[in-house]
Amino acid sequence: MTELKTFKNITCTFCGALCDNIEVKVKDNKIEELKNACAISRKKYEHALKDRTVPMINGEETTYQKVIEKAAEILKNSKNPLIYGLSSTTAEAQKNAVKLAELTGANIDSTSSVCHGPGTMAKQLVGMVTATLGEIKNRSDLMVFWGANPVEAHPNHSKRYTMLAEGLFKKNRSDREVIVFDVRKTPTAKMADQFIRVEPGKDFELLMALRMMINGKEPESKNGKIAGLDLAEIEAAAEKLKSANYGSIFYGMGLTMTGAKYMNTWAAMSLIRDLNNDQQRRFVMMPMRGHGNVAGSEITMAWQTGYPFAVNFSKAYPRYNPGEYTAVDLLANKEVDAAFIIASDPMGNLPKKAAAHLKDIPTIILDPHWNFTSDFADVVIPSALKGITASGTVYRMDHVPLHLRAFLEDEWPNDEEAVAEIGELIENA
Amino acid sequence: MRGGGLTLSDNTFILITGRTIKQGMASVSGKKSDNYKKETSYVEVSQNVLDRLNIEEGEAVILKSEAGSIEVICKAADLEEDIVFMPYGPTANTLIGTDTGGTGMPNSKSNVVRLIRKEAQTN
Repeated sequence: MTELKTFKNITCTFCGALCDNIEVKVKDNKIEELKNACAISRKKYEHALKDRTVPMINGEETTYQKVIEKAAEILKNSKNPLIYGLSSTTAEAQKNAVKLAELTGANIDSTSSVCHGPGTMAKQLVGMVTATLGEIKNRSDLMVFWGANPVEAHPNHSKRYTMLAEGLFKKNRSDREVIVFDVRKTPTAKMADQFIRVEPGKDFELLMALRMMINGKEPESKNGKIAGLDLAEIEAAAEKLKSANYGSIFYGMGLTMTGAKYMNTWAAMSLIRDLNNDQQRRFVMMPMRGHGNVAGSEITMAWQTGYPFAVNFSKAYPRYNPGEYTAVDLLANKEVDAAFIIASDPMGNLPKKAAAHLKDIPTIILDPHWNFTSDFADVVIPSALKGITASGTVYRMDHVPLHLRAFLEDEWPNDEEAVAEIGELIENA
Repeated sequence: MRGGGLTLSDNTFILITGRTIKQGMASVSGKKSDNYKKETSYVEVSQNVLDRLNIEEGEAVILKSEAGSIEVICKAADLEEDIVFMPYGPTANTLIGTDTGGTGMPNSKSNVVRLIRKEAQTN
C-alpha cells in the first residue's frame, strides 16, 4: 500500500474557466480527497476512472494497436473524412489532428461551431476588445452577463473571477454592479443587481438600440418598445453602461444560438467599441467558453491553418467556410464518408438528424469514456484522461495557456500519441 | 407580440435549450446512465401556460418541431409565456433542425415547438 500523496494546483478541465486550484489526495492510484472542486468538477473526478472505453472494432474487443491500424485504414481510404470534436483534448493533440487532416485531405471542425463559433466569426469582422480574467477581477466595476448562465455552466467562475471574487482593487460583490440580459431568469440573473428580460430573438435590436443611445441618437419604435423593453428602460441601461469606469461583458450561447447568430455578437462587439470611444471609460468582453479547451481548439487551429474552425484540406491547403465545412452541415448534407471523433459526443450533442449520418459511415471515436457516439462507432480507441492521467496544454476562456499535470497512472496512451500514431501509419504506408 | 416577431399560436413556443447544473453533473457521471437521461428529458413551462393548456406538472407531454417529436415530463418554472426550456442533450436535439444559416450553428435557442397534451395526442 502506498502513502497518501497530495497534489496542489491541479487544473480541472471540465469548463473554460479551467480552475487551477484543485487539490487532490491520492493513494493506490485512486483519488481519496478533493478540495476546491465545484459540483460538476467533483462528479467529474469521482467518475474519472469508471466507465472506461476499451479498444473495439465493430463491437468486438481487440488490441490497442489493432484499433490504431484500423483507424488509419479507414481515414486513408476515405475520400472526404471529417475530423471533429477537439475541445476536450490538449493543444498537442489538436496540433496533431490538424496534421492528420492535412495528410488525409479532411475537413476539420471543433465543437466551437455549435458553441461560440458565430462569435468568432464576428471577431473576424469587427475585432474584440478583451482582457484576462485577472484584470477583470481586479478592476471591473460593472459586469454584464448576456445570454450566459455561469452559475450553472461555470460554477466557480463568479467566485474566482467575477461577482464574488476578491480582486486587487475590487474586493467583493458590493464593489461591482451586475446586470444580466437574458430571456429567462436564470440562477445567474438571480445574483444580479438588475435582470433585463430580452424578448426572444431580439438581442440584435436591443444591442443596436443601446449603441444608438450611447452615440447620442434616439432609436424609433412604433409601439415605444424594442426587444420587449420600453425605450426609457433601454435608456437607463445605456446610462449605466456609460457611467462605468471599467465594464466587462461576458456573453453566452444566448447570443450565438439565436436567429441572428454572428450578427448578435457583431453588435455586442461594436457596442464595446462605441463605449471605448470615451477615453475615460474601458470596456472589455469575453465569451463564456464551455468545454475545457475549446478556446485552445480555435487557437491551435488558427495557429496551424490560419482559421479557427470549419477548415477543409481537400485541395491540400486550408480553406475556411462556416456553413459548408462545419460538422452539422457536412453531416446533414451527407458529404463526408468517414468520421474521426476526438474527445466528443456528437450523437448526444448535435441535432439528431445531422448526427444520424455517423451511423451510415465508418466512424472512429477516441475517448476515455463511453458515450452515445462510442455506442455504435466502428472503431473505439481508449485514451488517457486529460489533466488526470495525461499532461498537456489547455487554454482558458481568456486565452491564458495552462499546463495540465498527470497525477494518476493509466493503461492507455494520451490523445496526442494516438493521433500522431494514426498519422504516421498513413504517412509511411 | 409573443415570440419576438415569430408568429406563435396558443400552444407554440420558442424552445430554449441550455445548461443546468444537474445536467452538467450527470454528463460527467456517465452519459449512458439513467440519471443523465432523467436530467435531460423534461421540459420547463410557465405555470400560467400549464394552467391555460390544462396540463398538470409532472404530466407527460408531446413536443413537436419541424425536425422531430418527443415525449417528455413537464415541470413548472419561472418562465415567460413565449418560451419553454429543455436541458441540452440527445432528447432536446431530436427537436433541433439542421439548418445553420451558413454559420455551422443550428437554432438551438430559436426553434419553434408545439406543446401537446399526451392525452390529446392519443385521442
